[in-house]
Amino acid sequence: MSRPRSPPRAAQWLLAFVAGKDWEEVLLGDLQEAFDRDQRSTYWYWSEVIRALPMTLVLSLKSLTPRQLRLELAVSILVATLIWMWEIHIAQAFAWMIASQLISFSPLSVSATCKAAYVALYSVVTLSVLHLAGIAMRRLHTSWQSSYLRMFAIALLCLSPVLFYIAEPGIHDGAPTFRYLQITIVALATLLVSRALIRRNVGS
Amino acid sequence: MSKEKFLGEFELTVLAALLRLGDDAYGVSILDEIRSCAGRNVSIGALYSTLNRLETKAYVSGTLGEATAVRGGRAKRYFKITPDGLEQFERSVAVLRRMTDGLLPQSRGALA
Repeated sequence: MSRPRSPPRAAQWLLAFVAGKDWEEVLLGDLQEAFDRDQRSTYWYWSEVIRALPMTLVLSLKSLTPRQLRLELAVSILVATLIWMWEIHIAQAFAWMIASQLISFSPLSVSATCKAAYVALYSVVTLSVLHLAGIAMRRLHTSWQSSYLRMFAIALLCLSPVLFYIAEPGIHDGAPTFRYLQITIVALATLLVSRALIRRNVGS
Repeated sequence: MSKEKFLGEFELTVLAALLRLGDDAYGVSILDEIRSCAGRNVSIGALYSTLNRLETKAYVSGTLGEATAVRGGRAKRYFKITPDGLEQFERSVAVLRRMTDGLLPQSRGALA
């Protein structure tokens, strides 16, 4: 099997996503140099990236000023809390309502229609909350780079597959602990995505 | 001597690599130096974690260098040992020497 000529883009994207602007260039440059020179494998690149992620997160947090850190923390907690509350109390009921209207027209099965409605609703609310968070951050930071459309697209891409597989609208089958665990995982994923996106779009 | 003044074994190795490399100490070259001299394969994450710790202690300073084509047009970050770092390095090596002086032949004898 021939070796890939360039490092895995997904791994590069992941590292750049977590690292922030300051460290992205240095880390990706070092990895690229070693990858090309020593004819390293994709597996090696991925393992290096995964092992570097915790340190990279620390470096990106350290590069923030105390004020930026406080703001980011506050917005992240707000976003995660809103989305968590939304998921528990509203999303499933609304998804059922929409799905029940769509079932007669939808070419998909009932279950798939429900899931699609749920994912669409969840995405809209998630993106709206992120959008509001972005506006708040823009007001607080003059160095804001107005690329938040990209931020929404990335959030949608990241969250939709996860949601599609775990979302079960309207099903409360006697396993609340597992359900809450799922919701918590989604909220944490959302928190991480929003944190990284806001971080990258605020600038330091 | 305060507790935070002590250097760990890997911190000592990294500082030694910086001294050996001089002005050409950046991520990949430091990893190469450690691999060739100490025989250790270290991940880039572990290296930068240690460099970051040493920077926090003000034993090392980092500066962004030029972008090169071999790295996809990305810049290097060069690291240099500071006077404080050098002092601490010398102190730690001296302690290590004192502690191990004449010990290896004795330990072999004790095992025999």
